[in-house]
Amino acid sequence: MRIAIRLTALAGAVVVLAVWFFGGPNLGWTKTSVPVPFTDMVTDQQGVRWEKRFLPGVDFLAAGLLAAGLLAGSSFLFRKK
Amino acid sequence: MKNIFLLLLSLGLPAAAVAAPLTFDFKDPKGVNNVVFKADAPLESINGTASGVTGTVTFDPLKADALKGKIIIAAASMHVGNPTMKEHLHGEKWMNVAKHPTLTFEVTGAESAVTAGNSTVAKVTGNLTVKGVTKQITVPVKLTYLKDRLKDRVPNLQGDLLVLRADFKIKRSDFGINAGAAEDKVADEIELTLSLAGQSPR
Repeated sequence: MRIAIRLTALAGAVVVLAVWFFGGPNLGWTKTSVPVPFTDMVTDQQGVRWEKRFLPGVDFLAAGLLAAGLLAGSSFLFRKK
Repeated sequence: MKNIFLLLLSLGLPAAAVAAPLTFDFKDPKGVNNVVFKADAPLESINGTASGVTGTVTFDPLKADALKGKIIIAAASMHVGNPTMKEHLHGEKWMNVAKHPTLTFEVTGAESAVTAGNSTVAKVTGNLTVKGVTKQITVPVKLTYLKDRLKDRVPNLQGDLLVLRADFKIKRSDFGINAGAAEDKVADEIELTLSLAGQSPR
């Protein structure tokens, strides 16, 4: 049981790290929309269009790793067989 | 006699049309008009935009100093990428959009206007109202007058365009935006970049 919990925690931590790394890696806060700049050809204005996209930030990374750590820690509540 | 009268009329009318001040409507169906706001914060600067721009500006290409008008921004259109941050931004402590639904800048005058080609740079003075607090500010503004270019944006519509660009800073404490609080988290100074185009159909 202890090993199973620890392996699950490790897998969770790897998934969180992978999602964060391949999603950015964004060193800011998590965002659910990102600005996409564009230029108006007539007025030469710089416009901004917000695109719905999940961009995990350091809060996502910290929360994910903390959850994995807590899960791994909870394995000590079970006795060795 | 009739021909001379028609000739004078044909010469005079275009001159009169050019000399008249033009009123530009800044409601933008294209969704390009925006105000970018930026404030320093420890982890990353807070960057967002406000796109709900309306208002009218009267501009005389021959007399740029006579600039008048009012730009209105819908507070609820202020957007940042982080949903919790956006909730705080719209909340009572920060912008309180429920009680103060608009931000306005009413132009009272312009000075030191320098025109080169179709661009004019001027120091524009006006009353900026944010969260119910009105302050008089003077900001450098670049106006680009695009004569007869409205048809390029809106087919079959004749008229002119006026592009207004400005970069300036305000202090949130001046407008009671969570004044004196959380300055270690969000800087007091907010950088604003305006990029607005208005149209004057004929």
